[in-house]
Amino acid sequence: MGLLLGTKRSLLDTRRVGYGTAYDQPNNTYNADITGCTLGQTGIGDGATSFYFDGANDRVALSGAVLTAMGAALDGDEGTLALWLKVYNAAVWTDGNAHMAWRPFAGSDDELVLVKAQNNGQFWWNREGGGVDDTVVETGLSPTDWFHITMTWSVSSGVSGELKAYRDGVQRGSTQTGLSAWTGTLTQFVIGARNVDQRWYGWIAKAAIWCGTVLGQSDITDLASV
Amino acid sequence: MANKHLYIGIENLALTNEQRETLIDGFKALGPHDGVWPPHNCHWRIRLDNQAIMLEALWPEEKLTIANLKAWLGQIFGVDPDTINHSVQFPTFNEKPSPLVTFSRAGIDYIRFVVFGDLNATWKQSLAEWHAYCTLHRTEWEKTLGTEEIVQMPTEAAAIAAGPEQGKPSDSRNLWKRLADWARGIVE
Repeated sequence: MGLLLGTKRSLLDTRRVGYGTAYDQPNNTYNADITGCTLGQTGIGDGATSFYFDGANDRVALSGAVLTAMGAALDGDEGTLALWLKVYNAAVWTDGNAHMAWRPFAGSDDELVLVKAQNNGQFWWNREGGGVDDTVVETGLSPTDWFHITMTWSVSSGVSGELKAYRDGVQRGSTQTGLSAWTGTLTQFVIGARNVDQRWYGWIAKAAIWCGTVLGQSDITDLASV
Repeated sequence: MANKHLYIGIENLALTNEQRETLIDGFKALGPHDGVWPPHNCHWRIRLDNQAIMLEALWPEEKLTIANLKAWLGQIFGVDPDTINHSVQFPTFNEKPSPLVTFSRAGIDYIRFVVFGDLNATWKQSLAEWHAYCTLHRTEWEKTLGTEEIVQMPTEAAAIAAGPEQGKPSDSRNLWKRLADWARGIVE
């Protein structure tokens, strides 16, 4: 399956969302559940809007048949996550709390995680497959404007798989190798929270997932451009 | 009276599980559910031990007064509201005092109830009080992780240099994996 949520479109995008849903664009078939998010917020600067997450009890999640469909589509061995993020204020980077941007979770051995870590100024790109954890950590971060995050993972690339982390279109940290195959079944697919805790505090826009497709540098550069 | 977009909290002190569920279901039903604006619809977050909940909604203000809460508690638990006592404290978590009401009956404290920032707070003020409260009680609300996670992790270069095998690049992944396992602690 290619881009599940529409090429150059995304789960959290400009179009007016119906109550309680975020569009699966362009099909508007597989919609997500919105809990508490403030819609129609100023976006990245391209005229599109964003979602505001209050850091307390807001999130976007898939459930029921939509979650099942995503589970069938998600390729834990090959894929790409990308989204735009903005924190509420500079203090979020040093508040000692983890703020999760996106977390597809398929059991304790299999998950994808994009998170501002508890550690001050850190952002983590993490994939766990078959119980093997691979993580890229960038330190010293404090942006208060929009920044773009991408994570690609591929069990088949290189000698033993590759996990790559990008911020603002530039690869960050080292390519992680030694990836292990995904073994779980998707049980949670949450944007803006770990599940019940570690809520994102700020804005999220243009969250997109590519299932089975590992984007290259040129595509990621394009995605990270306004 | 007006509707107020606020964060409230409820902590179970001595209710049975069944009573607790009755209470929480009642609070969940107090706020709207079918509005077109998601922040106004009643939504919540449960403390990790399931003994407290914070809820956000566009509340009918009159339902959050102590007298009405007593009447409502009496109704759902089948007791005379006049037999429910209360005491109030006003802790300040950020800038605005929050009324923290403890409801008791026959000398037993059953429920603690708080309106973050009080009924006259704006949404942002109420949220700020919640955030400050949550920070004070992080370990009760955030699945974490112990004090070690707060420690600043070293830079990648420093971590590699400090590796067990003189920082060979090929060692960096395992080192980072260990560091990540140690510091992240995100487990189900």
